[in-house]
Amino acid sequence: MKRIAIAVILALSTVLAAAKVYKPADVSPVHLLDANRYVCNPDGILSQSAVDQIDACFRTIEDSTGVQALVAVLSEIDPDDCFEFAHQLGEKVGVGKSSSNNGLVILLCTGERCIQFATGYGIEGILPDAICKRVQERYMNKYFADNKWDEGMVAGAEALKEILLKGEYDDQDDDDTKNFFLGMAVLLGGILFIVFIAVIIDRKSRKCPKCGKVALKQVSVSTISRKNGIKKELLTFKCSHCGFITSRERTSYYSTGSNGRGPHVGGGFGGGHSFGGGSFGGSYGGGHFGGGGAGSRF
Amino acid sequence: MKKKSTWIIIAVIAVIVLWGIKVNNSMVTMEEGVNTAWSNVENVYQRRADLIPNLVNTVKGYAQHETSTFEAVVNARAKATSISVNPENMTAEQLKEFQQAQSEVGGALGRLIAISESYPELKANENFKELQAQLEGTENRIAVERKNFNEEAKKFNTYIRKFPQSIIAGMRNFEKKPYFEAEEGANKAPKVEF
Repeated sequence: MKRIAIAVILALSTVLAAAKVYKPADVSPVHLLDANRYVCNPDGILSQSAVDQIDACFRTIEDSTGVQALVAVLSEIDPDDCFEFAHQLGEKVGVGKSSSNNGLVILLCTGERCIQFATGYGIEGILPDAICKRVQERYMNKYFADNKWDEGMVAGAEALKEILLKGEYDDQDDDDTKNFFLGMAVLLGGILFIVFIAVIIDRKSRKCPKCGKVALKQVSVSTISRKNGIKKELLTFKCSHCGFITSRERTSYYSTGSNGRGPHVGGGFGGGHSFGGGSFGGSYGGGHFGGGGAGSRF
Repeated sequence: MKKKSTWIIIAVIAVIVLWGIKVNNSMVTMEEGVNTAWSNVENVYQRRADLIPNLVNTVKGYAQHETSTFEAVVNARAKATSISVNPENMTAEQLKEFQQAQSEVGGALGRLIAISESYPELKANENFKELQAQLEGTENRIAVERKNFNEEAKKFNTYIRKFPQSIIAGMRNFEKKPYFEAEEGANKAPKVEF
């Protein structure tokens, strides 16, 4: 009797779990936990291998075009209008960069029997509504009509990959190139500055205190003391212009061997970032959606 | 002693003036937000209007006899594009008129698309399909931009009507913006339920 009761409860809970109605806020974007994943498949409608294939497609798309995707495969949604849901989801999660609004939301709702693409403002050009619709009609709907969710979604993702990679659109590289050049300019500027300062210091140290010409030459070095790892030396300079002789002290540090208690100079870069074997969470940048894209029923 | 009280009065006036400037600037910023949202609304309606000639011509190629439907679409479009609303001083009546004219366009377009049901060749036409996809996308964009406009207008209205900002709003003649009203179904394609 007890066993039957448990079985009934289990069966009921699976039914209830399967019948969950999602609101846009209920969809947790897996991309935030793992940058290589884009597909939210909480009801397990897609198989793991299909999810992996789709993830790989959108990883490639993001790497080469910057277009950021969120794929949601759900059984029931609220609001039950697919466009409304996809739009709200995209705005809520902020798919795409806020500067270029290059987000793409793909929603498959098996309960409503609809597929919906929502394109961010920034990719309406490369992915016009008519193209979205064409992808759905040519590659996806025929599978969806037979409830072949895996095949339809994979075919759609592959088609999108082809279209997006072929397109002229390339936001990310543009940004990166700009950043790269800016970085190089800053670096070059820094190096020039350091060299400039070094030259000034060098000239100053080689300037003869008597005649003012930059003509001092080192003629001899003698050690004054070695103590506790500090070495003092006397450097003698002679001006090659007027023959004036001057001397300076130089302090330097030396290693005292095994029981070195001397001043410790330098040291390793401690506490660097440790890169664990797992993958990192991605981020969605707050892109906006203006109602682009297309949807169809099957 | 007298000098001290003078300074206090001056300080209080300065604070009030600075507050007034800040409030005024916030209102200007928000009104600009409303204006931008309005121009986005106009853009998407224009986008729909631009689709019409192409769509009518495509349908004409397959269904010459539906002249009354074509005329209805063209007339509704002409009427809608003739109405222009200035967001700076729009009134509820102006917006209502604008919305009315646009929903007539929507209705006429709905009937134009419905024609395709009785012309299988038209329905299968690649060009027609793409135009239809664009039209659907444009209707979605219209819904989004109208909602954005309402949100911006609401933000502005709430701000200018709250005390004490309402004093500054009255001085500077900032007025409440009207809202788009919910569609009564004229614009939306009927949803088939089984």
